[in-house]
Amino acid sequence: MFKKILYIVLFIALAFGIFLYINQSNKKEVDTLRERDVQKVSKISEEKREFHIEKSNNKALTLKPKNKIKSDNIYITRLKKILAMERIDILQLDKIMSDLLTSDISRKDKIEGIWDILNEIGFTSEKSQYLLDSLATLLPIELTDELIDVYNNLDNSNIKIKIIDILAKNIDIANPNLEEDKLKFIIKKIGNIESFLEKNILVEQDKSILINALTAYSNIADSEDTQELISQIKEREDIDLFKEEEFLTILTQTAISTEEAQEEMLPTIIEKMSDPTINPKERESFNQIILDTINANALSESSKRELAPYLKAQEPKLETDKRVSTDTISKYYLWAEANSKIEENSISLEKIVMESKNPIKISSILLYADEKDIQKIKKNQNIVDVYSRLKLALAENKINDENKIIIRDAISILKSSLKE
Amino acid sequence: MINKILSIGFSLVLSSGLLLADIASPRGMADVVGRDMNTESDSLYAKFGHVALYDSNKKNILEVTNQEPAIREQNTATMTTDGYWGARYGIGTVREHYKALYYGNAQRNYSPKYTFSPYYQEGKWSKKWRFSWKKGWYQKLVKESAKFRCDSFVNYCYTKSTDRKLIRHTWETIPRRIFKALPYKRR
Repeated sequence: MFKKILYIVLFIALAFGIFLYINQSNKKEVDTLRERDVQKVSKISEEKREFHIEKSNNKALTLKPKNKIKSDNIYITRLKKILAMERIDILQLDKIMSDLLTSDISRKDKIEGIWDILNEIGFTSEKSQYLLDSLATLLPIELTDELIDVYNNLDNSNIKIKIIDILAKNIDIANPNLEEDKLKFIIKKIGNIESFLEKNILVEQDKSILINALTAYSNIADSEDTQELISQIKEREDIDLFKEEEFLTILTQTAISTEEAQEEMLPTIIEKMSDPTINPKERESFNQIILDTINANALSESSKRELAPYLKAQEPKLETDKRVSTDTISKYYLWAEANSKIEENSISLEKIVMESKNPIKISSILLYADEKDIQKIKKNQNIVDVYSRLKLALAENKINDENKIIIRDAISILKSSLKE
Repeated sequence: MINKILSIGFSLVLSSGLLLADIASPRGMADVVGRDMNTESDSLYAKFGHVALYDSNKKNILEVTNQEPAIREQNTATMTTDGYWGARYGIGTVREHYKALYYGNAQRNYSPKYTFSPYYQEGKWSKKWRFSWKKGWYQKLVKESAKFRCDSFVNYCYTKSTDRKLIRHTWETIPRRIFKALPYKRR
C-alpha cells in the first residue's frame, strides 16, 4: 500500500517536473530573439519635423487605391514578405519597418509603399493598424483625401479615431516659410480636414469618436471657430453626449491656445472656477491643464499673473495622519512647481523644503523635483535640520505607516548628500 | 532502484519548488513586471508578451494596453497570473523610480492612444504653426496626444526619469527585451 502511494507521489512529481521543464523551454524559445545587424538608425523625429512635398511633383500627390503606384523597392518588398507570413516575429517586423522609415529613399516612396500594402490588405486588421501607425510618423498630408475616403467607408471606431489623429497631426509643419505652391497645397488640405471634422462632429453618434474629432478640431481651427462649433454641439438634441467637464477641457485648451485667446477667455473661466459650488471634476480638469501648461513654460506672463491668486488657493491637502498615495503627493508637487513659476505667489520649492512643517510636503518635493532644484536644496546650509525633522517624523505615532515609507524614501535622498 | 527513483523524485520536487520561488511578485517602486499575452493565437501580438511598471505605494501596476483608456492602473493580480515572467529591477535611484511613475501617470492627461508601432509619441504641450483665413499663419499652443505600446511606455518612463534608455534602438523595443534590460530579478 505504502509503495503504491509512493509510486503515485513520484509519478506526480515527475509529471510536474516535466511540465515545468517544457514551460521553461518555451519561455527560452521566446527569449531567443534574433539579433540583426544594427544599421545606422537616424532619429525619426527629425524626419517628422522636416515637412516637404516632392519637388518633382508640382501637382498635389494623389494616391488612388485603384491606380496602384509603382513603389517597389527592397524595403517595401521585405515588408510585404513579412506581413504575408502566418506567424510574424514582431522584432523582425519592427526592424524592417525601422529600416524603411529611416532609409534614404524618398518620403514619397515610403508613403506610397506603405499605402499600397494597406490597400492590398485592407484597413481593419492588426497588421493594417501597425502600418497606419507607422505611416503616421511620416505625416502623410498628401493622403488627406484618401484617408477621409477610408474613414467614410469604415465601421471600426478604433481605426476611425486613428485616422482622425493622423489627419490632425499631418498639418504640423516646422515653419510656414515654404514655396508658394507647397503652402497652397497645405492650406487646401487644412481646409479639407477642418470641414471633414466639422461635418462629422455635427452628426457623429459615437461619443469616443466625437471627443477625438472635437479635440482634433480644436487643435487645428482658431478659437472662435471652436467656440462656435461647441455651441452647435450643445444645441444637438439627438444625443446627450458630453459631460460639462469634457466641454470645459476643450474650452480651456482653446482659451490658452494663443495669447489673444488667453486675454479674452481666461478671466471668465477663472471666475467660474472660483465659484465654490462648481463641480469639483470641472475644477480638477481646469487645474490640470493650467498647471501642466505653466510647468511647460507655455503660458504668457500676464496670464500667469491673472491666475496667481486662484492657483495659490488650490493647494492640495496633505494630511500626515491619513494615508497619502503617490497620486496625492505628485499632485502636490505639480501645484508647487507651477506656483514656483509665478512670481506673485512667492513660492519656491526650496522654501517648502526648508520651512514646511509637513514631512509629506517636503518628501514630495525631494522625490519629484528636477535634479538642478535638488542640487540647490542639498547645498542649503539648513539641510541637516530638514533631515533631522524627517527622521523625527518617522518616530511620530500619528503619522500613517504607509506615509512613513514615503518619508523614509525622501530621507534616503538627503542621506547620500549628507555623507558627502 | 527504489532509492534512485526516490532521489530523482525528491530532486524534481525540490527543483520545481525552486523554480516556483524564482518567480516572485514585484516589491520596489518602478519594478518592471512581465507576462505572456492572453490574446488569441492568430493575433499579431500573440507571442509578444506584456510589460508594466509597479507602483509600490498603491500596490498596483501602470500599463499601456489596446483598450480605452490606453494608460491605466490595474490590480497587480492581472499581471501575476498565468504566464507571469516575474519582476525585475536594478536601474536608477529611489528618486528616479518615483519619477518614472510620475512621468508615466502624467501621460494619462494627454489623451493617450495605443500604437502598434514601436515609435512612441510623448504627450505634451507645444506651439505649432496653424493657418486660418482670418489670421493667416500663427502659432498656437496645442496638446499633443501620447501614443505608446506597452514596451515603449516602460522604456519612456525609465528614459525620462534616468536619462538613459533601457533599449538602445527603437526597433529593438519589445517586452522581453525591456524586461531583461533590468539586471536583477525579484526572488
